[in-house]
Amino acid sequence: MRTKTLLIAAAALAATVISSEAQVYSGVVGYVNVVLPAGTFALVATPLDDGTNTVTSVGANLPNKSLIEIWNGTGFTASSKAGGVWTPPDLAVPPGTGFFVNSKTAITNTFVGQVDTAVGASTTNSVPAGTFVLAGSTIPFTGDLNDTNLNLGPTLANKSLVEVWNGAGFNASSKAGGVWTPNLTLSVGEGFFIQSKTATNWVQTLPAN
Amino acid sequence: MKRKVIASVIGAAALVGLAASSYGQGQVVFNTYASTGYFPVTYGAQAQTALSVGQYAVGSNVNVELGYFLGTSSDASQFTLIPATLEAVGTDAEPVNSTGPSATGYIEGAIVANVPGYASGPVSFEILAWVASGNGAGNGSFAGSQYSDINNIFTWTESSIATGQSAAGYFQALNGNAVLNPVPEPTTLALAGLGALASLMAFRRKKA
Repeated sequence: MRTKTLLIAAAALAATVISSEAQVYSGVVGYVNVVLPAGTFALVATPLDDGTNTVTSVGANLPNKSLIEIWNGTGFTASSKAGGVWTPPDLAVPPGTGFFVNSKTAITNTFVGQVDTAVGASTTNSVPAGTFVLAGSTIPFTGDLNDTNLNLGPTLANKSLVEVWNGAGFNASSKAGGVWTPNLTLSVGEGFFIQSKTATNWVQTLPAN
Repeated sequence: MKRKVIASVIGAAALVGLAASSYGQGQVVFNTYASTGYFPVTYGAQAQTALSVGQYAVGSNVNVELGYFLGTSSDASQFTLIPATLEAVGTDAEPVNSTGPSATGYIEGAIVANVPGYASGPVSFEILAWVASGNGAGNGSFAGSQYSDINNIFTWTESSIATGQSAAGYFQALNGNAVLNPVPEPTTLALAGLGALASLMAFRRKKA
Protein backbone atom coordinates (compact mmCIF):
# COMPACT_ATOMS: atom_id res chain seq x y z
CA MET A 1 0.00 0.00 0.00
CA ARG A 2 2.88 2.29 0.88
CA THR A 3 4.43 1.63 -2.49
CA LYS A 4 1.19 2.33 -4.22
CA THR A 5 0.78 5.56 -2.30
CA LEU A 6 4.26 6.64 -3.21
CA LEU A 7 3.90 5.77 -6.82
CA ILE A 8 0.47 7.20 -7.44
CA ALA A 9 1.99 10.60 -7.45
CA ALA A 10 0.11 13.57 -8.70
CA ALA A 11 1.96 16.79 -8.96
CA ALA A 12 1.31 20.24 -10.21
CA LEU A 13 4.45 22.16 -10.96
CA ALA A 14 4.88 25.81 -10.38
CA ALA A 15 3.55 28.32 -12.84
CA THR A 16 2.18 27.13 -16.13
CA VAL A 17 5.29 25.47 -17.37
CA ILE A 18 4.34 21.89 -16.84
CA SER A 19 2.11 19.76 -14.72
CA SER A 20 2.10 16.04 -14.33
CA GLU A 21 0.37 13.07 -12.80
CA ALA A 22 1.34 9.47 -12.65
CA GLN A 23 -0.28 6.08 -12.17
CA VAL A 24 2.36 3.44 -11.98
CA TYR A 25 2.45 0.04 -10.32
CA SER A 26 5.89 -1.46 -10.03
CA GLY A 27 6.53 -4.25 -12.47
CA VAL A 28 3.34 -3.31 -14.28
CA VAL A 29 2.82 -0.92 -17.11
CA GLY A 30 1.76 2.48 -15.91
CA TYR A 31 1.68 6.02 -17.16
CA VAL A 32 2.83 9.52 -16.38
CA ASN A 33 0.86 12.46 -17.69
CA VAL A 34 2.66 15.68 -18.39
CA VAL A 35 0.72 18.78 -19.39
CA LEU A 36 2.60 20.74 -22.04
CA PRO A 37 1.72 24.29 -23.02
CA ALA A 38 1.71 25.32 -26.68
CA GLY A 39 4.82 26.77 -28.26
CA THR A 40 6.80 26.90 -25.03
CA PHE A 41 9.77 24.86 -23.93
CA ALA A 42 9.05 22.53 -21.02
CA LEU A 43 11.69 20.44 -19.28
CA VAL A 44 10.41 16.92 -18.77
CA ALA A 45 11.66 13.39 -18.06
CA THR A 46 10.02 10.03 -18.05
CA PRO A 47 10.79 7.48 -15.36
CA LEU A 48 9.21 4.74 -17.46
CA ASP A 49 10.80 2.25 -19.81
CA ASP A 50 8.63 2.00 -22.94
CA GLY A 51 10.72 -0.68 -24.60
CA THR A 52 12.46 1.48 -27.19
CA ASN A 53 12.94 4.80 -25.40
CA THR A 54 13.51 7.03 -28.40
CA VAL A 55 12.09 10.37 -29.44
CA THR A 56 9.69 8.44 -31.65
CA SER A 57 8.26 6.49 -28.74
CA VAL A 58 8.22 9.17 -26.05
CA GLY A 59 6.97 11.78 -28.53
CA ALA A 60 4.39 9.55 -30.21
CA ASN A 61 1.45 11.66 -29.04
CA LEU A 62 2.97 15.05 -29.74
CA PRO A 63 1.59 17.00 -32.70
CA ASN A 64 3.51 17.80 -35.87
CA LYS A 65 5.81 20.82 -35.69
CA SER A 66 6.79 19.81 -32.15
CA LEU A 67 10.41 19.74 -31.08
CA ILE A 68 12.39 17.59 -28.65
CA GLU A 69 15.86 18.67 -27.55
CA ILE A 70 18.25 16.30 -25.82
CA TRP A 71 21.27 17.46 -23.86
CA ASN A 72 24.55 16.14 -25.27
CA GLY A 73 26.81 17.42 -22.53
CA THR A 74 27.59 20.79 -24.04
CA GLY A 75 24.49 21.66 -26.05
CA PHE A 76 21.36 20.15 -27.50
CA THR A 77 20.60 17.65 -30.21
CA ALA A 78 17.15 18.26 -31.63
CA SER A 79 14.50 16.19 -33.32
CA SER A 80 11.37 17.63 -34.91
CA LYS A 81 8.12 16.06 -35.98
CA ALA A 82 6.65 16.46 -39.45
CA GLY A 83 4.12 14.25 -41.19
CA GLY A 84 3.93 12.13 -38.04
CA VAL A 85 7.64 11.31 -38.22
CA TRP A 86 10.40 12.44 -35.89
CA THR A 87 13.62 13.48 -37.62
CA PRO A 88 16.00 12.10 -36.57
CA PRO A 89 13.77 9.28 -35.28
CA ASP A 90 16.07 7.35 -33.02
CA LEU A 91 17.57 9.77 -30.54
CA ALA A 92 17.73 7.85 -27.29
CA VAL A 93 15.65 8.98 -24.32
CA PRO A 94 16.20 6.33 -21.64
CA PRO A 95 14.30 6.56 -18.35
CA GLY A 96 15.85 9.18 -16.11
CA THR A 97 16.84 11.43 -19.01
CA GLY A 98 15.63 14.99 -18.93
CA PHE A 99 14.77 16.68 -22.21
CA PHE A 100 13.12 19.79 -23.51
CA VAL A 101 9.81 19.57 -25.35
CA ASN A 102 8.23 22.34 -27.36
CA SER A 103 4.77 21.18 -28.34
CA LYS A 104 3.05 22.88 -31.25
CA THR A 105 -0.25 22.77 -29.39
CA ALA A 106 -1.18 22.43 -25.75
CA ILE A 107 -1.39 18.75 -24.93
CA THR A 108 -1.35 16.31 -22.04
CA ASN A 109 1.39 13.96 -23.10
CA THR A 110 1.25 10.47 -21.67
CA PHE A 111 4.43 8.51 -21.12
CA VAL A 112 3.66 4.80 -20.92
CA GLY A 113 5.96 2.04 -19.70
CA GLN A 114 7.21 0.35 -16.60
CA VAL A 115 9.53 1.16 -13.76
CA ASP A 116 12.75 -0.74 -14.28
CA THR A 117 13.41 -1.00 -10.56
CA ALA A 118 11.81 -3.93 -8.80
CA VAL A 119 9.91 -3.49 -5.57
CA GLY A 120 12.36 -3.37 -2.69
CA ALA A 121 15.31 -3.01 -5.05
CA SER A 122 17.55 -0.06 -5.82
CA THR A 123 18.78 1.59 -8.96
CA THR A 124 22.05 3.47 -9.26
CA ASN A 125 22.59 6.47 -11.48
CA SER A 126 26.19 7.53 -11.93
CA VAL A 127 26.58 11.30 -11.82
CA PRO A 128 29.95 12.62 -13.05
CA ALA A 129 31.81 15.43 -11.34
CA GLY A 130 31.67 19.01 -12.55
CA THR A 131 29.53 18.36 -15.62
CA PHE A 132 25.97 19.33 -16.25
CA VAL A 133 23.69 16.32 -16.59
CA LEU A 134 20.07 16.69 -17.67
CA ALA A 135 18.26 14.09 -15.61
CA GLY A 136 15.01 12.97 -14.06
CA SER A 137 14.11 10.49 -11.38
CA THR A 138 14.09 6.87 -12.59
CA ILE A 139 11.40 6.11 -10.03
CA PRO A 140 8.27 8.30 -10.11
CA PHE A 141 8.88 10.15 -6.86
CA THR A 142 7.93 13.68 -6.05
CA GLY A 143 9.94 15.42 -3.38
CA ASP A 144 12.21 18.27 -2.48
CA LEU A 145 15.98 18.27 -2.30
CA ASN A 146 15.90 16.92 1.24
CA ASP A 147 13.59 14.06 0.32
CA THR A 148 15.13 10.65 1.03
CA ASN A 149 12.94 8.75 -1.44
CA LEU A 150 14.04 10.95 -4.30
CA ASN A 151 17.43 10.87 -2.56
CA LEU A 152 19.11 13.34 -4.90
CA GLY A 153 19.79 16.21 -2.50
CA PRO A 154 21.09 14.05 0.36
CA THR A 155 23.39 12.22 -2.08
CA LEU A 156 25.09 15.18 -3.71
CA ALA A 157 28.09 16.83 -2.08
CA ASN A 158 28.43 20.43 -0.99
CA LYS A 159 29.03 22.85 -3.89
CA SER A 160 26.69 20.83 -6.10
CA LEU A 161 23.99 22.51 -8.12
CA VAL A 162 20.46 21.58 -9.22
CA GLU A 163 18.48 23.68 -11.69
CA VAL A 164 14.83 23.49 -12.70
CA TRP A 165 13.28 25.21 -15.67
CA ASN A 166 10.69 27.91 -14.95
CA GLY A 167 9.47 28.37 -18.50
CA ALA A 168 11.89 31.13 -19.39
CA GLY A 169 15.03 30.38 -17.45
CA PHE A 170 16.30 28.39 -14.52
CA ASN A 171 15.73 28.37 -10.79
CA ALA A 172 18.84 27.04 -9.13
CA SER A 173 19.68 25.53 -5.78
CA SER A 174 23.19 25.17 -4.41
CA LYS A 175 24.33 23.01 -1.51
CA ALA A 176 26.51 24.56 1.19
CA GLY A 177 27.13 23.24 4.66
CA GLY A 178 24.80 20.33 3.90
CA VAL A 179 21.89 22.66 3.19
CA TRP A 180 20.18 23.30 -0.14
CA THR A 181 19.36 26.93 -0.81
CA PRO A 182 16.58 27.19 -1.84
CA ASN A 183 15.03 23.79 -1.29
CA LEU A 184 13.54 23.11 -4.73
CA THR A 185 10.72 20.63 -5.32
CA LEU A 186 11.14 18.06 -8.09
CA SER A 187 8.01 16.48 -9.53
CA VAL A 188 7.16 13.29 -11.37
CA GLY A 189 7.87 13.78 -15.05
CA GLU A 190 10.12 16.76 -14.48
CA GLY A 191 13.63 17.05 -15.89
CA PHE A 192 16.35 19.02 -14.14
CA PHE A 193 20.02 19.82 -14.50
CA ILE A 194 22.48 18.40 -11.99
CA GLN A 195 26.05 19.55 -11.59
CA SER A 196 27.66 17.41 -8.94
CA LYS A 197 30.81 18.59 -7.20
CA THR A 198 32.08 15.01 -7.00
CA ALA A 199 31.50 11.83 -8.99
CA THR A 200 28.51 10.34 -7.21
CA ASN A 201 26.28 7.32 -7.35
CA TRP A 202 22.70 8.52 -7.00
CA VAL A 203 20.91 5.54 -5.51
CA GLN A 204 17.13 5.31 -5.42
CA THR A 205 15.15 2.56 -3.79
CA LEU A 206 11.63 1.45 -4.61
CA PRO A 207 10.17 0.70 -1.19
CA ALA A 208 8.67 -2.69 -0.49
CA ASN A 209 5.09 -2.86 0.68
CA MET B 1 3.24 39.88 -56.81
CA LYS B 2 6.86 40.99 -56.60
CA ARG B 3 5.87 43.53 -53.95
CA LYS B 4 4.15 40.79 -51.93
CA VAL B 5 7.26 38.62 -52.01
CA ILE B 6 9.43 41.51 -50.85
CA ALA B 7 6.96 42.29 -48.06
CA SER B 8 7.08 38.68 -46.89
CA VAL B 9 10.86 38.67 -46.92
CA ILE B 10 10.90 41.83 -44.82
CA GLY B 11 8.33 40.24 -42.50
CA ALA B 12 10.50 37.16 -42.12
CA ALA B 13 13.55 39.28 -41.42
CA ALA B 14 11.63 41.20 -38.77
CA LEU B 15 10.62 37.94 -37.11
CA VAL B 16 14.19 36.72 -37.09
CA GLY B 17 15.28 40.00 -35.52
CA LEU B 18 12.60 39.68 -32.87
CA ALA B 19 13.65 36.14 -32.07
CA ALA B 20 17.29 37.13 -31.80
CA SER B 21 16.59 39.95 -29.38
CA SER B 22 14.31 37.86 -27.19
CA TYR B 23 17.04 35.21 -26.79
CA GLY B 24 19.79 37.72 -26.01
CA GLN B 25 20.32 36.76 -22.40
CA GLY B 26 23.02 34.97 -20.49
CA GLN B 27 22.78 33.19 -17.18
CA VAL B 28 25.23 32.53 -14.41
CA VAL B 29 24.78 31.42 -10.82
CA PHE B 30 25.79 34.14 -8.38
CA ASN B 31 27.83 31.95 -6.04
CA THR B 32 31.45 32.15 -4.96
CA TYR B 33 31.33 29.17 -2.60
CA ALA B 34 31.38 26.66 -5.44
CA SER B 35 32.83 28.61 -8.34
CA THR B 36 36.19 28.01 -10.01
CA GLY B 37 38.10 29.21 -7.93
CA TYR B 38 36.31 30.30 -4.82
CA PHE B 39 37.17 33.31 -2.77
CA PRO B 40 35.27 34.88 0.13
CA VAL B 41 34.54 38.52 0.80
CA THR B 42 37.14 39.67 3.33
CA TYR B 43 37.87 42.56 5.64
CA GLY B 44 40.77 44.80 4.67
CA ALA B 45 43.44 45.77 7.21
CA GLN B 46 41.81 49.07 8.22
CA ALA B 47 38.40 47.46 8.62
CA GLN B 48 39.89 44.67 10.71
CA THR B 49 41.35 47.22 13.12
CA ALA B 50 38.31 49.47 13.22
CA LEU B 51 35.80 46.67 13.69
CA SER B 52 38.05 44.34 15.69
CA VAL B 53 37.41 41.44 13.32
CA GLY B 54 39.56 38.96 11.47
CA GLN B 55 40.29 39.13 7.76
CA TYR B 56 38.25 36.01 7.03
CA ALA B 57 35.40 36.59 9.45
CA VAL B 58 32.84 38.16 7.13
CA GLY B 59 29.36 36.97 8.04
CA SER B 60 25.76 37.47 7.12
CA ASN B 61 26.01 41.14 8.14
CA VAL B 62 27.55 41.74 4.72
CA ASN B 63 25.48 42.13 1.56
CA VAL B 64 26.65 41.61 -2.00
CA GLU B 65 25.31 42.50 -5.42
CA LEU B 66 26.49 41.51 -8.88
CA GLY B 67 27.12 43.87 -11.77
CA TYR B 68 28.01 43.05 -15.37
CA PHE B 69 29.57 44.54 -18.48
CA LEU B 70 29.19 42.95 -21.93
CA GLY B 71 32.80 42.52 -22.99
CA THR B 72 36.03 42.97 -21.11
CA SER B 73 36.37 45.77 -18.61
CA SER B 74 37.65 46.50 -15.14
CA ASP B 75 36.20 50.02 -15.07
CA ALA B 76 33.47 49.81 -12.46
CA SER B 77 31.73 52.87 -13.89
CA GLN B 78 30.85 50.83 -16.99
CA PHE B 79 29.03 48.08 -15.13
CA THR B 80 25.30 47.59 -14.70
CA LEU B 81 24.00 46.16 -11.45
CA ILE B 82 21.57 43.24 -11.35
CA PRO B 83 19.29 44.13 -8.42
CA ALA B 84 17.83 40.61 -8.20
CA THR B 85 21.24 39.35 -7.06
CA LEU B 86 21.33 41.35 -3.83
CA GLU B 87 21.78 38.95 -0.91
CA ALA B 88 23.65 38.41 2.32
CA VAL B 89 26.77 36.27 2.23
CA GLY B 90 26.73 32.81 3.82
CA THR B 91 28.25 31.62 7.06
CA ASP B 92 29.79 28.28 6.10
CA ALA B 93 33.54 28.09 6.54
CA GLU B 94 35.78 26.66 3.80
CA PRO B 95 39.51 26.91 3.12
CA VAL B 96 40.00 29.76 0.64
CA ASN B 97 40.12 28.16 -2.81
CA SER B 98 40.73 24.77 -1.17
CA THR B 99 44.21 25.55 0.08
CA GLY B 100 43.98 28.82 2.00
CA PRO B 101 42.93 29.56 5.55
CA SER B 102 39.46 28.64 6.70
CA ALA B 103 37.09 31.48 5.95
CA THR B 104 33.46 32.47 5.94
CA GLY B 105 32.11 35.18 3.64
CA TYR B 106 31.25 33.12 0.58
CA ILE B 107 28.25 33.86 -1.57
CA GLU B 108 26.39 30.61 -1.11
CA GLY B 109 22.99 31.22 -2.64
CA ALA B 110 21.87 30.02 -6.03
CA ILE B 111 20.42 33.14 -7.55
CA VAL B 112 20.54 32.82 -11.31
CA ALA B 113 21.79 36.18 -12.53
CA ASN B 114 20.31 37.04 -15.91
CA VAL B 115 22.58 39.14 -18.10
CA PRO B 116 20.44 41.01 -20.64
CA GLY B 117 21.77 41.44 -24.15
CA TYR B 118 24.35 38.69 -23.82
CA ALA B 119 24.75 36.42 -26.84
CA SER B 120 28.32 35.07 -26.68
CA GLY B 121 31.88 35.98 -25.83
CA PRO B 122 33.43 37.56 -22.77
CA VAL B 123 31.40 39.19 -20.06
CA SER B 124 32.86 41.01 -17.08
CA PHE B 125 31.45 41.00 -13.58
CA GLU B 126 31.85 43.08 -10.47
CA ILE B 127 30.86 42.30 -6.91
CA LEU B 128 29.70 45.12 -4.71
CA ALA B 129 30.08 44.20 -1.04
CA TRP B 130 29.19 46.22 2.02
CA VAL B 131 28.46 45.91 5.72
CA ALA B 132 24.69 46.08 5.70
CA SER B 133 23.79 45.46 9.33
CA GLY B 134 25.35 45.94 12.73
CA ASN B 135 28.47 47.94 13.48
CA GLY B 136 29.51 50.12 10.54
CA ALA B 137 26.40 49.50 8.46
CA GLY B 138 25.39 53.15 8.22
CA ASN B 139 21.98 53.14 6.61
CA GLY B 140 22.47 49.58 5.36
CA SER B 141 22.81 50.44 1.68
CA PHE B 142 25.95 50.20 -0.43
CA ALA B 143 26.13 53.96 -0.73
CA GLY B 144 25.42 54.52 2.95
CA SER B 145 27.58 51.83 4.51
CA GLN B 146 30.74 52.79 6.37
CA TYR B 147 32.56 49.67 5.12
CA SER B 148 32.45 48.48 1.54
CA ASP B 149 34.58 47.79 -1.52
CA ILE B 150 33.47 51.06 -3.12
CA ASN B 151 37.03 52.33 -3.50
CA ASN B 152 38.33 49.13 -5.06
CA ILE B 153 35.45 47.26 -6.61
CA PHE B 154 36.39 43.72 -7.47
CA THR B 155 35.98 42.87 -11.16
CA TRP B 156 36.88 39.94 -13.38
CA THR B 157 36.00 38.57 -16.81
CA GLU B 158 34.40 35.26 -17.80
CA SER B 159 35.18 34.06 -21.32
CA SER B 160 31.52 33.07 -21.76
CA ILE B 161 28.39 32.17 -19.84
CA ALA B 162 25.37 29.98 -20.58
CA THR B 163 22.55 31.14 -22.81
CA GLY B 164 19.12 29.89 -23.79
CA GLN B 165 18.20 26.51 -22.37
CA SER B 166 21.71 25.65 -21.27
CA ALA B 167 21.94 25.47 -17.52
CA ALA B 168 23.43 28.45 -15.75
CA GLY B 169 26.85 27.53 -14.39
CA TYR B 170 29.05 28.77 -11.62
CA PHE B 171 31.73 31.35 -12.38
CA GLN B 172 34.72 29.73 -14.07
CA ALA B 173 37.35 32.44 -13.84
CA LEU B 174 36.96 33.94 -10.39
CA ASN B 175 40.44 34.91 -9.27
CA GLY B 176 40.06 37.22 -6.32
CA ASN B 177 37.69 38.69 -3.87
CA ALA B 178 35.86 41.78 -2.70
CA VAL B 179 37.63 43.49 0.20
CA LEU B 180 35.78 45.63 2.71
CA ASN B 181 37.46 48.84 3.79
CA PRO B 182 36.34 52.00 5.55
CA VAL B 183 34.54 54.46 3.32
CA PRO B 184 35.69 58.01 4.00
CA GLU B 185 32.75 60.10 5.15
CA PRO B 186 31.80 63.05 2.92
CA THR B 187 32.82 65.48 5.67
CA THR B 188 36.25 63.87 5.85
CA LEU B 189 36.61 64.15 2.10
CA ALA B 190 35.49 67.78 2.19
CA LEU B 191 37.99 68.61 4.94
CA ALA B 192 40.72 66.83 3.02
CA GLY B 193 39.80 68.88 -0.04
CA LEU B 194 39.86 72.11 1.94
CA GLY B 195 43.20 71.15 3.40
CA ALA B 196 44.63 70.53 -0.05
CA LEU B 197 43.24 73.84 -1.28
CA ALA B 198 44.73 75.70 1.70
CA SER B 199 48.12 74.06 1.09
CA LEU B 200 48.01 75.05 -2.56
CA MET B 201 47.16 78.66 -1.73
CA ALA B 202 49.91 78.82 0.89
CA PHE B 203 52.35 77.40 -1.61
CA ARG B 204 51.39 80.01 -4.21
CA ARG B 205 51.64 82.84 -1.66
CA LYS B 206 55.11 81.65 -0.68
CA LYS B 207 56.14 81.43 -4.33
CA ALA B 208 54.87 84.97 -5.01
